[in-house]
Amino acid sequence: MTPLFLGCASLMLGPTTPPAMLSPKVDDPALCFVGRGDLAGRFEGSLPEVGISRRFGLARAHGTLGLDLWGLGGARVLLAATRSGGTTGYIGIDGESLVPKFLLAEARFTWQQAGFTVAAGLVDDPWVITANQAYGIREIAPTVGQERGFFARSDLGVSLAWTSPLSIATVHLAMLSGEGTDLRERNNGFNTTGMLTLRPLAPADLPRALAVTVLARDGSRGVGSARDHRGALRVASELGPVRFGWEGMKAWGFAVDGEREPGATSVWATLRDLGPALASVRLDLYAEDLDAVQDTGSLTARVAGGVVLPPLGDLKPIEVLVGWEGRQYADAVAPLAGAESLTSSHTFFVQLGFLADFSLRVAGPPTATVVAPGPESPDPGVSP
Amino acid sequence: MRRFPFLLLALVGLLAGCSEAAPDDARAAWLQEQLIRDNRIWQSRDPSLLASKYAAMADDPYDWMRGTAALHLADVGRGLQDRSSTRFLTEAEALSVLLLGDPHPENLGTTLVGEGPGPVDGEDVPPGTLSVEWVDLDGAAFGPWLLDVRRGALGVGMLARAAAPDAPEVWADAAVEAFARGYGDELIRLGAGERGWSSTDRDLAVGDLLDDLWDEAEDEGRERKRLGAKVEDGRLLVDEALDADGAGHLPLMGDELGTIERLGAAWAAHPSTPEGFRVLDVVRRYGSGVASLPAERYLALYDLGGDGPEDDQLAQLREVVDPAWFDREGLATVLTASVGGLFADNAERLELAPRLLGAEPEADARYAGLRDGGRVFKVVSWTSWFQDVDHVRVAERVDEGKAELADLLALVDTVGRSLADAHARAPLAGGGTAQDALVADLGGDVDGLVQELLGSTDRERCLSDHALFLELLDTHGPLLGADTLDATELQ
Repeated sequence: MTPLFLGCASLMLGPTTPPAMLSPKVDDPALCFVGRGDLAGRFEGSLPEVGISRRFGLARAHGTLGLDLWGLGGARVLLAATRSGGTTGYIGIDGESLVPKFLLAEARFTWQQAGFTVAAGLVDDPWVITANQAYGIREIAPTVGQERGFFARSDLGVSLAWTSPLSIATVHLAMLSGEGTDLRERNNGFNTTGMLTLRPLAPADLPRALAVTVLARDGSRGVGSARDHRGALRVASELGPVRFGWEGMKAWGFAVDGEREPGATSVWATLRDLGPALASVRLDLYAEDLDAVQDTGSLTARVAGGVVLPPLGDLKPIEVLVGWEGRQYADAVAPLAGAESLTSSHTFFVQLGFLADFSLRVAGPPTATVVAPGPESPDPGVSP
Repeated sequence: MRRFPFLLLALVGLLAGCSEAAPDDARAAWLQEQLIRDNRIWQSRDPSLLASKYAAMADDPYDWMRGTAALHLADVGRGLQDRSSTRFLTEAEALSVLLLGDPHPENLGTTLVGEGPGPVDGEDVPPGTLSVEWVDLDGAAFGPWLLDVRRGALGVGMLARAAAPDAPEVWADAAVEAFARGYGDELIRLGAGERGWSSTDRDLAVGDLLDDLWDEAEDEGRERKRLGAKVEDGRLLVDEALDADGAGHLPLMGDELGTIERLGAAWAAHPSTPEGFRVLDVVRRYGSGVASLPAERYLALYDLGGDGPEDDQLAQLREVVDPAWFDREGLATVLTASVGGLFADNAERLELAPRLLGAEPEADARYAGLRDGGRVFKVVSWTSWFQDVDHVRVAERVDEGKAELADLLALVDTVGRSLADAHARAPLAGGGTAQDALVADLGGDVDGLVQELLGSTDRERCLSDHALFLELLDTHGPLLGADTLDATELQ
């Protein structure tokens, strides 16, 4: 999907770590309001038919608003709809109404010429945001790290990034609370994350063709400061409309439980912006114990395809997706150990989505031109 | 066991090798977090009441078990290699049964069927006056039947330990087996159109402990003991202060007056409220229950419009929150699919659960769910006809030589049969009742159920967690350190 309307190029819709070569060139700085709408309604049915097995849902409802101060940074908030009573509770707001919650609320300073960015507040988790970009069709499902609880979508803290000349490397450092998007600080320890991305083909003007990312995190979580360390590695590639990659991660301490040391991996291939077509294949593996993968693992496979509508030139804000998701569990990770009827499930879904960016130039040299998104736009096809 | 092609995951193994966490420390940190999360609603209301709850849980392993239903479910759903595995739940329908939520033995008790006040001193108690029912269904929600059975087995095991004069684990295992056999046998009988137990038939109440329960209910019910002890000159008695355990009755203060005014109006307008109903007096009640100890609770004196005290009766109003087991890690997949949308809210859930699960749907004529804005209060009768199993009393009877293991086994056999009876009539989330699905899922394998429950580590974990809990209280204070979270974040 491409930007619906851009009054000015802006970094503020992108993550904290826009590699200089991969971002729009802000050579005409302006004061801009920017935004992104990302909504999807879904119908899904699941097998085996346990309880309510056919349902409508709001798969995504994200809205981003930001202010870009002449390319020097600014502020942005990302609001997402959430069920006020949780997914199963009855105590909510006005029943269990959908209510907005903050996924991001950050202030940011950018020194683009030096490749330096710093953000503070409720900021992106560096792994999740880059995984979403590597995957390419986030609206199907979160990537394995977020879905299985290795990483939160965002967290309170400070995030710094520096990208080298030619975008060969990006170094990301984050000091975060460790409690994730939804909880306030629980202990005196911080989560310290270091992440390095190397793009060996960047000097050949192919910065997206190969990216290798490695992450290490020293963390603690909860009132009892349970250890919450992470290690992760990703190899990803984007060649025209095709993205594919592999990532793996390991936890030392998990879900406020210092005893657990699960691992997960994922392989994927996606097709986007090849005419109206969208397609994705993904395989996720999770294991509670890497020394006993066969007895403690679960496998999730996803296949989805769709088209963008309407095909009005570069404007492709609306899409229809049809997909299947199959899950299979070993005992240790099944919802109930040993329960045969819970060891596998299949879900089929149909989804209508909208995803588009906009910006409004409010100060600076006036322009009447809608900026056509170019090959270096901030990942227009991916909503974080 | 499923075997998967996990070759890719082996690559992740290259990342392994960090330091080990000390198991006890890790478990303690997890335990602390689970308890704080489970109790955050009470932490936000009145932390001193939550501290009283923790103190009660610290004093007695059985009360620890009562206060940790959410922890138990978190453990059941927790992804670890040493989880207790089941041979059951092969039928998809067996996953979405309306469960009692927390069927430990102290939630089983006698109720007066229909309108009170019932027979008085000198009168006979006709058959059908009393019914043995699950009297606390605050945890009712749809889910796999085995969760209730595991919780019930944990409860009877802890009850037996509390009562055992020696060899507590021997008594506990015997109790778990009797409970499982009672449950399985009753379910099989029901599937064959027979019945081994009836909630209203005192002749089927075998053993001294069950006899005691019936005797107590009939004697004190006719005597109207609670009414006599708590009411004087048409007013509820109040205490000067709460006792050392934080229990007692105090006059209404501050916001409580407004709450009672609103609840009184909702109560009067409720369809179950009889003609002439009047609330005569209300006091705030403290120190009752374990899991719900911090909940706002009132004792109300009401009548049906008569001039004298003959029609005076007591009822308890208590706030009820979401069941403890919602949002448990690992079980979310099951619960999200089976829970959503089945009840309009907690008031409807509270009102329907006894009618759907109870042996006698009108076992308590005053039972109601009242809405007060976003909060929900449960109304239950509070008369002496209502007597429940009490682990302290059971232990005393054994200690006094008035009951022995056989009596305890008869009691827990009834606990199992009563649970099976409730499960058989329980609705399924997808429609229909659960009996056929449960009978098919059990497949007549009562020995397998016994073996599975005896092999469970639930009781062992419950006891070791209690020891860790005591250490946590010592280390982090009476609120487990949750008071440190009160710092202002948003200026």
